Amino acid sequence: MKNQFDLNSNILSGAELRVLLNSDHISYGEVQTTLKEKGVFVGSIDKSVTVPLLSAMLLTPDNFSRLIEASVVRESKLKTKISTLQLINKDVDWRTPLRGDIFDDDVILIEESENLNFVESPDVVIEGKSVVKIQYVVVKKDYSKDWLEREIKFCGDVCVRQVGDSLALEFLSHHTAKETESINRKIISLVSKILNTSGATSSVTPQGINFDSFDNIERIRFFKRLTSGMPPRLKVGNVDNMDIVLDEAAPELPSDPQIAWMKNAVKGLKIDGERLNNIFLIADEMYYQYYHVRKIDVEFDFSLGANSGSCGVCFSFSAPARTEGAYKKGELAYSFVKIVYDNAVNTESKKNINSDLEIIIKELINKHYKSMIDERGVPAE
Amino acid sequence: MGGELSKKSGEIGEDIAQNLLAQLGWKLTLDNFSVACNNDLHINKNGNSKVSHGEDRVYIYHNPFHDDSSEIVHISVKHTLNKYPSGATLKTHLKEYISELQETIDCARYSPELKTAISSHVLRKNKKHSGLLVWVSSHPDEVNRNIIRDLVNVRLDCEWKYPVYLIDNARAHFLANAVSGAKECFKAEEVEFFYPQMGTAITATEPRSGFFLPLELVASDILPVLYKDSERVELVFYANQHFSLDAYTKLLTYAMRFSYGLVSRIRIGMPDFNPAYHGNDVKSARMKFSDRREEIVPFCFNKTILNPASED
Repeated sequence: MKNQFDLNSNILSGAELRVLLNSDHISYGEVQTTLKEKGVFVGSIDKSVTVPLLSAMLLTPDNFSRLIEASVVRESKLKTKISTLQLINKDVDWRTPLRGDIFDDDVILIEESENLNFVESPDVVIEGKSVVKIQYVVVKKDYSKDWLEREIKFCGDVCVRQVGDSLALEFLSHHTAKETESINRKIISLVSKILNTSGATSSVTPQGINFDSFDNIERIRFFKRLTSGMPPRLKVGNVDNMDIVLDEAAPELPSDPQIAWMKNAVKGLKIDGERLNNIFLIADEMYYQYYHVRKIDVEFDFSLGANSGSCGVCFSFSAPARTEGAYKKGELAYSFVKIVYDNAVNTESKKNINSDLEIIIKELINKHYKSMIDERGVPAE
Repeated sequence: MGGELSKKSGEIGEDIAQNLLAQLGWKLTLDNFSVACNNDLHINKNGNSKVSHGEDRVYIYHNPFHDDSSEIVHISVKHTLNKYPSGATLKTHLKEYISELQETIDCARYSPELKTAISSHVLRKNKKHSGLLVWVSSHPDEVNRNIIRDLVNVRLDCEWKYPVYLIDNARAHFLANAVSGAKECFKAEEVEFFYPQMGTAITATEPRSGFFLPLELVASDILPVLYKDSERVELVFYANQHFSLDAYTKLLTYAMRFSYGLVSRIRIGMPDFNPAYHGNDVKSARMKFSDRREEIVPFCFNKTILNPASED
């Protein structure tokens, strides 16, 4: 494992940096921007000019983190999922059953994945009375790739948290790749079983937000409401990307020229733009029943104390498999596509801002999911 | 700015630049000479062809990061008694200064004046021309002002062929602070800079240390210094980088990689290292290199009473 390169805790220089800069992971613009960050200005964006200049410098840890965040990490953004279990009462001790070697047989967690091994096995860390964290690192080997990708580490974690004094026990899981998503699912299942067996919870299955938690109309309405943000911390957002798929089980498309062109012509549609909230597919509810929105990217402005900026958040349903119909089991996941800070912030402040933003997005999702469920019992006006 | 004040400002800028460059070991520079314009496309503000370009300074060195290369650095010094401009004006001034340097270099590289002036240097096969813009403000509120971070979004002219390296107040402050700290620490009159294995050099002919700081390290914001005496060899990294566990670990990675286990002590200097707050992070980072035997000494290079673990 010693020759394994971990981009998160390592830093490159010289020939290795040159390989990275010349790779497709790093764009021409990113090399030039990093040069500008270092106070070096050259007109050409051609890598034959810029890479020798940059690879003959030492990058500061901040320079390197920004470069990696903007490129390699782009492909493995941390995605978050939320699910909850109900405790039998708010004072029940749910932490003690999680003590002990519950992940002794960690092979079970990765048995379906080829070339996958734990670098750090799942570890239970009890943080105070209300939080238990389970973190791990896996490595995937693929010798067909260049050194940058030959061995890739993926981190994952599951955070179990009792929300305030309530009965809700929340699972907040983070994954980057399909592999860690699958491991998280198994960890949550195992923890749920242990808690249920110990009598701490009434159910063995955590409740999450899935694709089939909604009908077509509710689902798009839910996505649309997510764009409202959480003012004043998170302002109203703009949709700048979405994936739409026609629902084959839905009634036939009406002859309305606004939408009839999709009939027999479109199965899936990716729309890239700005302020897509205003296009009829989102703005007009009468069309909601005919299609699925499986993913939207929303750009929000944020203001957190002295820090402000903008963040792009991707909301999507992540299917457990690629098989036909598996999308219906897809669980809602969100990830930060990008975060831009108005002022220069150091790595620590960045971590704090990102953590605050994650909590706000979680609140946003829970608030609108709850309102959707509550409205079900209320007759339409 | 009146003529007298402008002249005075120019002289102050020259003094600041000269002192700073001397700290970096750039002692033998060619100063204040004129290059005849040899490009008809160079036009002055009145729309007439330019007659000449003024070179503030030229410094030449053999580049330790690229094989068989000599670097000819054209230095332009800009000084203001006022604050740096802000917003769009800052970017406009930068573009103006860089364009001016591009024209100067473009004529200088074909100029008999420069050829004569540098004839005593034995240049290598590959001659590279670069610009160094020393842009400083003497305003008391700007002592440590970083304008580079305000210039990241500047749109560059794709016609600019020669790279231009910028030293602003913050960078000048860091470099001067680091060099004087190293001199004091080792009680040395000169600082021996360490040249890590980077760039495009593949041969083993280049020295890995010297007494001048190449442009590439000027812009790195990490200044590696080597100290040797009869008893020990030490490597010191001064990093213009706020302390965090992640940043410190990465700097340690550099130090471990470059030292090849041949030095007995490695010092890592950061501007805000505080042993009272960062002691555990230091231990945690050290554990990642538990097989290495070097003594690691973190320190703060901004002297305060809070840093007993100083460079001494």
